[in-house]
Amino acid sequence: MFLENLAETFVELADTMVAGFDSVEFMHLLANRCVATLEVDAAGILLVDHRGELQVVGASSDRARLIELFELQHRQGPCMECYLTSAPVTVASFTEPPQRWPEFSAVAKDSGFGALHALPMRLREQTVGALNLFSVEEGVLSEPTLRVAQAMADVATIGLLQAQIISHRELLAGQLQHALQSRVLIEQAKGVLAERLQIDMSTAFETLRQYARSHNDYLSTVAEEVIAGTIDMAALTAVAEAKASTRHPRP
Amino acid sequence: MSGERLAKVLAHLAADAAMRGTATSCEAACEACVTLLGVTGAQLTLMNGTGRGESRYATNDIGAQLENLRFTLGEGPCEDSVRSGTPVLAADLDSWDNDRRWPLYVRAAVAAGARAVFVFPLRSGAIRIGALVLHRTSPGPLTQEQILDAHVVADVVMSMLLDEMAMAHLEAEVIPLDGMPLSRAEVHQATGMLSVQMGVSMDEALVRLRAHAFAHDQSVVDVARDIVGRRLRLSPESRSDPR
Repeated sequence: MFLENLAETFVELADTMVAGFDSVEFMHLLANRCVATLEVDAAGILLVDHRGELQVVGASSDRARLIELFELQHRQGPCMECYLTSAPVTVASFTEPPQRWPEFSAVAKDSGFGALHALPMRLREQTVGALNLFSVEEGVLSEPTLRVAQAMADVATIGLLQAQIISHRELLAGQLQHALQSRVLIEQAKGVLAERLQIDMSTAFETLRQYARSHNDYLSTVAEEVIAGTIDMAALTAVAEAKASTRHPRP
Repeated sequence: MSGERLAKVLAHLAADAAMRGTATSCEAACEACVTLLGVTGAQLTLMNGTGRGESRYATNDIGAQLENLRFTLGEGPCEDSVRSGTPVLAADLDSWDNDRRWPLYVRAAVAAGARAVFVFPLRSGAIRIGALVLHRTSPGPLTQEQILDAHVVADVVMSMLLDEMAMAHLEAEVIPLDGMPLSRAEVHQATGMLSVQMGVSMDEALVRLRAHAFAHDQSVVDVARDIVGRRLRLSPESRSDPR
């Protein structure tokens, strides 16, 4: 089951790494595959920006509480520690003392999580960010799982290389801007859609993704069209309605 | 450590302004760029309603001339940056490639004395308010550190400009409390929602969001959360009177 899952993951990722590569879609897919393959409950890919702060570029879920947990680690926390030391960081319990990041742990526990693993995203001698995994159950992931998790983090880095978000030689702040700005565009478009169609942010995001896929467009391009008002609203509404009616409640 | 670069840049801006005997402002930030980033001059282009843009400030003549060229010729690194919303770094203006890329601009810019031009857009997703344009009279690239610092300056300048626009909506003098919550998902989502609720552009929506926050003594992120959580709506007639 595990190996099948893994194989499927790599096929799916390889599929996206062809011409017309959409880095935002790739990050989202990768985060989702992390959850399925590693049997964790949430995942996020964070990259360091020009200010030295960690920014989310892809996550397995849009739940506000999860995003908040990523954003809390902007400047400090397990992911920042992981990035700065280029080494994995594990928080096996959010309640057992001593807690290195007590405020963060309190929010994590409140959000229903029990443990966190952060894996460094490395490019030769440089670390560009961290893969952040949340589990509902307390405890440490097994060694084999952690090895696969590191491989997923490395795949994320390769994906960014592919999208030329980062170059072979060094991370140039200018190149990262594209990924970060795309993310902003998508968040803005989610807001526009959520208000226009009176849907939640998750459905809004899934609607954008589905529309982008079926029209063979970049997510950020669709987002721009939504914001500019040039998108086919009727078609988008139909997608949203289909999404809303098939949503399963998530923990 | 993270946050250090921002602190360093802010400290430099403050010290530079103090040395000139002025308050911090986007104009002062342009002046501070010269020493912070090792450039000859800095200039700020702002997009106005016409979509053509105009110069807000230039630290020297060359800067002003470069902006004139952009405006008149509709060509060049600044024009490209503004159109694409991405940074454009031309370390050697007079190179074969750049000469072919911007034939009219390069000739005139070099004649004016510029040999390198670096443009950083003032942008947050769909919100694009202009660009910070740096130039040097000798060719050569910015260092990695200078590029990172320039991005931070662009963020700071954008924040200052948004504050200015927000102030215009407020009747009394209110001091903005927030640093720069430009990178929070809820702020972007709330901006999108507001643009629909109020029937305004994204730029205007963000400005109104910030004005509301200032007027009610709340953080921009808290107001954004209220909007996303549908606990708060701002209508077109909403006025952000301070209590």
